Amino acid sequence: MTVRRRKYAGLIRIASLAGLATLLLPGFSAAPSQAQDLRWAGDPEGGAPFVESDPTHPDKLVGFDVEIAVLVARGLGRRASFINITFTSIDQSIDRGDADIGLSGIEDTPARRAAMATTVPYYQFREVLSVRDDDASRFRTLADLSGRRVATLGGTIAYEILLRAEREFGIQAISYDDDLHPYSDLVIGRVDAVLLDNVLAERRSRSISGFTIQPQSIAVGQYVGVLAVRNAGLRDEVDKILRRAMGDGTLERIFRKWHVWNDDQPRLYARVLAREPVPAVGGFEATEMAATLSTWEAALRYLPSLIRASAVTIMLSCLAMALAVLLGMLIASGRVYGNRLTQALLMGYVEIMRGTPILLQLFVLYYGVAGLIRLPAFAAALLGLAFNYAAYESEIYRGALEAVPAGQLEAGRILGLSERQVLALVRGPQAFRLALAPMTNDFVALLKDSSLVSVLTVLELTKQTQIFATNIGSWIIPGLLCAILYLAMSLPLAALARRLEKRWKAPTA
Amino acid sequence: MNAMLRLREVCLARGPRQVLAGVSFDVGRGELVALMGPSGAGKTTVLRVIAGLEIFQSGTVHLEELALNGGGCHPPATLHSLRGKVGMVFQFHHLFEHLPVIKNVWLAPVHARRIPLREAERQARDLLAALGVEHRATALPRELSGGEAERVAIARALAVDPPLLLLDEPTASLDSARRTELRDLLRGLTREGRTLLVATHDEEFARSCATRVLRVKEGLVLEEC
Repeated sequence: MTVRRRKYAGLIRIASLAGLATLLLPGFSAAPSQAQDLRWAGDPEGGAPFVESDPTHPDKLVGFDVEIAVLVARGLGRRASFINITFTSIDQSIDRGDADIGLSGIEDTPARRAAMATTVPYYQFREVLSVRDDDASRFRTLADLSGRRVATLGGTIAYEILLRAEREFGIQAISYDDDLHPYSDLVIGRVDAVLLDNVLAERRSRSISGFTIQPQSIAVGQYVGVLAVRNAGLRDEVDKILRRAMGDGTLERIFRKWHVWNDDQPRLYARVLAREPVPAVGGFEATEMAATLSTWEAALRYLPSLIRASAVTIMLSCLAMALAVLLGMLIASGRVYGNRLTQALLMGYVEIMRGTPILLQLFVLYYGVAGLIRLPAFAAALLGLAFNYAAYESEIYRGALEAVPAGQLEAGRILGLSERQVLALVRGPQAFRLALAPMTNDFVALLKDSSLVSVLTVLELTKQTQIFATNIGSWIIPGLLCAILYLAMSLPLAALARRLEKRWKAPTA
Repeated sequence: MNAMLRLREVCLARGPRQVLAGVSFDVGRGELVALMGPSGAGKTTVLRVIAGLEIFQSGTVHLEELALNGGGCHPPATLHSLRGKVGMVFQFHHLFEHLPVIKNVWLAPVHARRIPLREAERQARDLLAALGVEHRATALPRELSGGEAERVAIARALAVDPPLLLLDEPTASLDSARRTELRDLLRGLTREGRTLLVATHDEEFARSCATRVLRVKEGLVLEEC
C-alpha cells in the first residue's frame, strides 16, 4: 500500500509540474493561453514602413504591419498584442507557438507556403536593382553586373535570385543581415549594386543619397501573414478579414498613409478577391528555389557551398590565430619587459579588447572607420578576430613568461646571453610550451567565434548554414551538416595539440 | 698571493635581514677554495654576488681588473665583461629544461661567443666525454640522474671557458662514489689553471679537495684555516 501511494504521489507531482509549466510557458500548450489577445510577431529592427518604434513615443509601435495587425485582431474580436521576434526567426517562433501570426514584411515563398499556413498576399512589391548614380547607365540588369559584387538581405527571394545570377552571369552575391548596410556600402563602393524590394529601396533612398533605383523590376513578390499549419482555421478567418479590407478600401488607406500605395495593389487585390491563384514569386523561375526541392536534394545542392564556406572559416581562423599569437607575444613581451608607459598602454589595450563585445569591435572596424580606411570584408574580419584574440593570447603568454623559473633566466644570463637572447632561446620557448594547452583551447573557440564575422558579409560556415536553413525551411539537416563540418575542423586540431603537448610536455619539477 | 678574486666589506641586506655583514676574502689564481657553513649562512649569496646576480649595498668585488661596487645596479658593460670571466654551477643545476643535453652545452658558445655551430658542437661533445656523460647527449634534463645533471651543468659552465668557476653545493645530490669522482674532476680543473670557489656544507668533501677552507657564519667570513 505504501509503495502504491508513493507511486501516486509521484504521478500527482509530475501532473502538477506539467500544469505549472503550461501556466508559465505561453508557448507550451497548443491552445492560445489568452483567447482575447491576438499575439502577433514582428521585428521593429525592420523599421518603417513595416514595424518601428514611434520616434516620438518609443514605447509605441507604428507601421503598416502594425495597423494590419490591429485590423485583423479587431475583425476577430480580439486585442492585438505584439511580440518582438528577430525577423529571420519569425517562422520558427510561430511554429513553436510563441505567437499566433507573423506580420513584418514577410515574403510569400514556395517554402513558406509548404511549411506554414500563409494568408492571402496583402501587398505586392517589385525586386529592384539599385546602383551608384555614376553607374546608372551601364548597370541596368543583373547581366550587366558580371564579375561585380551585388548585395542583398540573406534568406530572401532576392538572395535566391542573386545565387542564380552567380551561376548565370558570374556576379558575386553578398548577403547582409540588415537592409541599411547594403546601401551604405553601395555608396562607398564596397558593392556595385543592391537587389531588394522597392519598398526597402525607396525607404533607403530617402535617407542615403548617391544611388539610383533602376526602373526595370527583376521579379515580383508579395507580403503575407504567416501562421502555424495547425492554425489553418484561424488563417481562413484572417483571409476573410483581409479580403474585406481589400474590398472596402481599408488596406488602400493604410498603404497610402505610409506612402507605398501604387497601381500594382489594385491588380493584386482584384486577383485575390476573384480567388485567382497568385504565384509566390513572379518573373523568377520558382522551381529553381531550394524550397521546392526535397531536403536531401537541397542538402546535396548546398553541400559544395557549405564546404566552400568551411574553407573560408578554416582559412580565416588559421590566419587570425597566427596573427593573434604573434601580436599576443609582442604585447606580452611589452608588458613583461617594457617601461611603465608601454606597460600601461598595453594593459589598456588588453582591457578594452577583453571588456567590450567582439561584435561591437567588428562593426567599428568595418562600418565605424569606413570613412577613414575602407577595409575589405575579409581583411576587417581577419583583423577584428586577430586584435580581439591577441588580447587573450597576450594574457596567456604573460602568465607563461612569468611562470618560467628565475633560475632558468639566471643560468642564461651567467652564460653570457643577452636579455633578448634569454627571451628568444630560453624564456620564450619554455613559456610557449606552458601556453600551448590554453592556446589550443582558444583556437577552437576562435574557430567558432569566426561565425560572428558574417555580420561583415563574410560568407562563412554558420552564415551559409543559416541561409540554407531559411531557404528550405528547416534547421535539422543544415544544422547537422554544419555541426559535422565544425567537428571535422576542430577535432583534428585538438588531436594535434594533444600530440604537441605530449612531445613538449612542460617539466613539472 | 696573486689574488684573482678579492672581496672587501661586502654588505647585503634583504629587508631587515642582514645576509652579508661585511664579507672580505681573497682567492688566488689556480686555487680550489671551499666556502663552508651551515644552511642559511650566506654561502650561496656570496657566490651570487661574485657572479653579478645580486646587487649589494656596500663594499667591492674585484675580479682581476674588473670591479663590482656596492650601492646600485652594475653597469651593463661591467656585467658583459664579467660574464666572460665567471662560470657558475647552481645547486639545482638550472639546466635548460626544453633543450637536450648537447644543446644545453653549445647554446652559449654559439649565441654568446659566436663560435660556429659545428665547432661548438664538437667541443660540447668533447666536454661531455671528458666528464663521462657523452652517452646522455640527446637526453632531456628531466631524464638525467642527479650526478649526470651535475656533470652536464659543469660541462655547460666550462663550455664558455671561464677562468673562475663557482659551484654551489655540488655534492648535494651525489653518493660517496660519485663524490670521489667529482673531487678528482675538480682537482683536474685546477691543474688546467682554472680557479674554483665551492660552496658546500660537506666537511669531508671540503677537506679532501680544497686547497683552502673559508668559513661563513652569520653573514661573515669568520675564520680561515
